[in-house]
Amino acid sequence: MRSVEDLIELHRAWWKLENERPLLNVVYREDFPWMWLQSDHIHGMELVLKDGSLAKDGPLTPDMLSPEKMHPTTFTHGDLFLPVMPYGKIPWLEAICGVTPQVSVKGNSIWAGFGEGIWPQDWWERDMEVKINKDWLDLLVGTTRYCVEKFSDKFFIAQTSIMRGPVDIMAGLVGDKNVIVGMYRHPEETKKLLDKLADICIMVMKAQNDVIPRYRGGYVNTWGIWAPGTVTRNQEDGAAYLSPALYKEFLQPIDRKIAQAFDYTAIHFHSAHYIHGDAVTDIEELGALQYSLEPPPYGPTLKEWIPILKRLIKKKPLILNGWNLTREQINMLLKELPPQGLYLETYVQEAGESHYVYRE
Amino acid sequence: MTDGEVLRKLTKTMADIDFEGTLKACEDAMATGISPAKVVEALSDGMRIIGERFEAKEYFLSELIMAGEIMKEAQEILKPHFEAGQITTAGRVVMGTVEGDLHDIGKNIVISLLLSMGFEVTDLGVNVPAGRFVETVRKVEPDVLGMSALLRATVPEMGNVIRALEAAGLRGKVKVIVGGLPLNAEYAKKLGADYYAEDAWKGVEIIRKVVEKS
Repeated sequence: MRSVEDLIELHRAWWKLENERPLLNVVYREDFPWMWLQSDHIHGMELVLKDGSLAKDGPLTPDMLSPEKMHPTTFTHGDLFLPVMPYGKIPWLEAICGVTPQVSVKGNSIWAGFGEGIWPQDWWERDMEVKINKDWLDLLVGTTRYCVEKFSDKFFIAQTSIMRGPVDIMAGLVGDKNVIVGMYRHPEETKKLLDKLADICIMVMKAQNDVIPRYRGGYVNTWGIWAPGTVTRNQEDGAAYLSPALYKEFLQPIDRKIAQAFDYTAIHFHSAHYIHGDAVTDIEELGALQYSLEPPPYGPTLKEWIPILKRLIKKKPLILNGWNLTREQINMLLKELPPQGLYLETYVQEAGESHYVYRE
Repeated sequence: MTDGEVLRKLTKTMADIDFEGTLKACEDAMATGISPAKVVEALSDGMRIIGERFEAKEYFLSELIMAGEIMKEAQEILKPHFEAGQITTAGRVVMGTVEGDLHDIGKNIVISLLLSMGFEVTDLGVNVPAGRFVETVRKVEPDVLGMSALLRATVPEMGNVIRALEAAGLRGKVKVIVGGLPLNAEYAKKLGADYYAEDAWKGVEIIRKVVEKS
């Protein structure tokens, strides 16, 4: 197990593309470790053995353990810190902007409305006033504060894991299709609305940071990476529908605006967003780019990914979540990509390998 | 401008996703007395080019969405110029996102493109239970039933709908096409679907061919 000091230095170097080895987080379980920590019922505590490995099924004897490993001052997993954060499945940002979340038990999800929007069809002719739902905002900040009070003695506290970006909030307000129609037919109004929504994102992100205590002068982000300053992460799921030209014209400026408001930001993209990688890594103020490497047809094959990732990692640190990778593919990523700026999080378990669907 | 030039311009503005330009060209064509059928043909040529550009990854979903919007508006301009009996339905389609899933952008693109091509579409929306698909198929008697899902967890629901159609004795009366990112042709077959649409554009092409055959 690495010491806190080692990790702090590793993370500090990673943000600067100066780490000598990649940050790795190999998850052996079905769930992300931090999912266990999202409620006050902490379970699945991982036991770290004297040699630094995790306890496996079978007998446990005293010689396998050491007090230092059993009582770490900070909880870590792989090369990251394990943050506790408010429940991430709620579409917090959309809810704060007035879109009522909809639970789908069958879909195991909570959606921001039904994709039709809550504003009138002629939204661009109106004042486009976004009414903040203070109850949702208070709940998010209150939950963050609760996490701080309850867990900050043993764990890092982070902002909630899913904060969808201005284009997603806009879709919640005007409807999915009308985001595109707005970009084509009412570009100025669309830009104005997106800019307004970026301000709201920044306000919500700062409201959470305000109640999270600093650690060594910095914060830990939702992926467990410490940074020597303020952090945040956002995403633009709706950008998956956009051409690179539309992303550049409408979203790059607001992603830049969010990046400018914090010291170390990261944007979350899915595989389908691979076409926007160049534009987003051109944002000088952006700290890092995270890709969830969903298998085709969600996005490129790993072979197609490699040259793209090689290009992007020269500009920004990359957080790669590959949940369906085989060991061979993990090895390929580690061999092909430079360690500087690479953070790979993956499963290596039979279940994960057996359902891998990457096809070269 | 000659009729040929007007029509070529129409095809080009459509292919370039030029909203105002296409509608203006439609109005110009009507003003110069070009038959609406020829205008529809020119627009369809534009759509074909859009499809090619989408396949070539020069266009993206945003362009397909706008293409559907342009065609919808263009039809409004053309409608009054068609003589009675000239407007026929290209085919009848029922579409919906299966229960438990609220993702509908792909489905909506297919619907908007089908509408623009003269199909009659019943959109059941999102989170549609199997029973509602069955009821609607019974009532509307469509040529094609299209189902969409984005989540792995909800894709099996497509199989439930197909089984419910079988139980209701309706399976032989309708072709079923499924689409959505977690699917592939093999999985679609396992679910019992007749066709699998890899993307929105291919879905439209398949539906066109299915209806033409029938």
